[in-house]
Amino acid sequence: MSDSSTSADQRTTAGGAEPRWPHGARCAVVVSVDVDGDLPFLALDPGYRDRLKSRSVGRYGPDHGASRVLDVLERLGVSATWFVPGAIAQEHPVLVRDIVARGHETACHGMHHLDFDGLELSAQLAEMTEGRDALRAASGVEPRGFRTPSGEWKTGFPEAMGAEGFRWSSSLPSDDRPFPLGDSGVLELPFRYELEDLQYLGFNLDPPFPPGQSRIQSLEAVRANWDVEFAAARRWGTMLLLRLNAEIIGTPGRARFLEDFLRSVLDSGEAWVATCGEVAEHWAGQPVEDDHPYGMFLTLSAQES
Amino acid sequence: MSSTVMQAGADVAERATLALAFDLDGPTGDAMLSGALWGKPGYFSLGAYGPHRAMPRILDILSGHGLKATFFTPSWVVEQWPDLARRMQEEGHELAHHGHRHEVFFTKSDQEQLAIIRRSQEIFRQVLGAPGAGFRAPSGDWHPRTAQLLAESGFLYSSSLRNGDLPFRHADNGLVELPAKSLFDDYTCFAYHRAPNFPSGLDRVAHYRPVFDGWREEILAAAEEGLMVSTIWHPKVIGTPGRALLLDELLGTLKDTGRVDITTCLAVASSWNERNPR
Repeated sequence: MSDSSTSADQRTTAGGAEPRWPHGARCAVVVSVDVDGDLPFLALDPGYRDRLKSRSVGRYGPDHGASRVLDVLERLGVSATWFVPGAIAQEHPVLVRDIVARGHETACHGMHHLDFDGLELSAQLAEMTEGRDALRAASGVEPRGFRTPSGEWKTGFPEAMGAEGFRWSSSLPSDDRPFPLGDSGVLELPFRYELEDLQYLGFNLDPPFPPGQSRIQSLEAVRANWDVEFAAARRWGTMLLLRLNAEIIGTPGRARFLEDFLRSVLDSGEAWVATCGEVAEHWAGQPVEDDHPYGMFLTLSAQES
Repeated sequence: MSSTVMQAGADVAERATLALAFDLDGPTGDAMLSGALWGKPGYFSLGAYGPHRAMPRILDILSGHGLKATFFTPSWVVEQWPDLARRMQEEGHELAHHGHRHEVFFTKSDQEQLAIIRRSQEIFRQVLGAPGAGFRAPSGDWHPRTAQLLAESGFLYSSSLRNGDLPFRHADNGLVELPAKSLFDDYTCFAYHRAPNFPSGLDRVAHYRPVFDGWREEILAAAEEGLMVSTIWHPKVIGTPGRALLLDELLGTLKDTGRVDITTCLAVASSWNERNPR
């Protein structure tokens, strides 16, 4: 698995050398917010468009939650990355301009938040480029990052992302630091389920989410887990990337919870708090792990299928 | 103390034996067996996080405590990460069988089961220079014939069943069994993935610390009765940063009590086998 053309000092051992972060920080903390509105619900079945109550669950995000989270971040002086599907950007141009004006990064999250597992490559690419164009029209800024709405991309998608000018993605649930997506020129900034609000707090009655309709986790438990994760990120120098949803985290109590947690991160003085784009720019100078599982997947999936 | 405890060969009353065990599945399992995995780069990478990222961290934690553990490792993982497998061996850990790609033994004929066991042994010999001595059934159930086939293939022990607080012997074939309980499986509290959904109802990731506290209490209660426990921890699940931190704490706490003997499954099975001849 080692590449003899790569000299030892360019390569890291299995498991990776401890990442290095700017300003001598012990770890990186990234805040990312998805503003999906009612699109994930509508993507399940177009016939749901008359189900206004269910749609209003998601619409709380762009209507109310997002601006409350923006206020929290402004009080903290933290810049975040906001993933806004094209259809939401078209419907809420004032919100998108506000996000940009307040110093945040906007990134592509598809056009209609379609599930990639049900799409062929050409449809996945159309979902990405249409969403990118609509977001750019609303924000006035070229999006450089992308997050799959849900599901997995087909072979060739990362290369197409690179060709379209994307520099980074935050789509895979699979690591605690960035890694390159093969030779696509796109860097992956993975998320992790234990750092998501959806996994702990998301709930919908019908159709049920979670499918087993388990109880909403307590904020006390989420806070305790995130505190442990932050301690561990400092110990091992990893990236702690929060994946939040405006309609979930943007209620008054949860926004306060988020503010308290991020305040503790800032007070530690040991974290580099950055946007996805800033992390991607910094990571360009890090040694490449030539034995990363993503490269292994590309080789093995070509053999097996 | 009851006489059962003495017969079972606990060395000292009021001490627990912890057969410290991990299932190093990597990306093997149902999705690899069906082929669906090759369309799922994210799911593959989540599984591969275990051997690639979590294992070096876990090995450092174990070495920090001077502990040796058993890793039930599908031989596909041994084949793909040979340097890791040799590092584990060099540091005194045990590698034991867990299928080739985490197959479901329950559905297989004798010949199919033997083919998997032999293939795994070949890979163990090739990469590690020695065959495995232990086996833990992957994916739910093993076959009613599996224990017999393992004994005939020269295996000393299995850690597949759930019913017991001490090692016991399979009456028909002499295989030593080190039972491990589902409550010590980290999947039950922490594993999570959407599409494919695990758990099937997508229940929330648990509050970490009470889970580790529960494991500690279960092991200390076993110490009061002089019993054995074994763990079913998955590096890709327990080796993510936050949970690895609490694993480190738990192992330290258990060591500090002075009431828990922590060692490999092979050491526990060998010692029990010597003290309880067939």
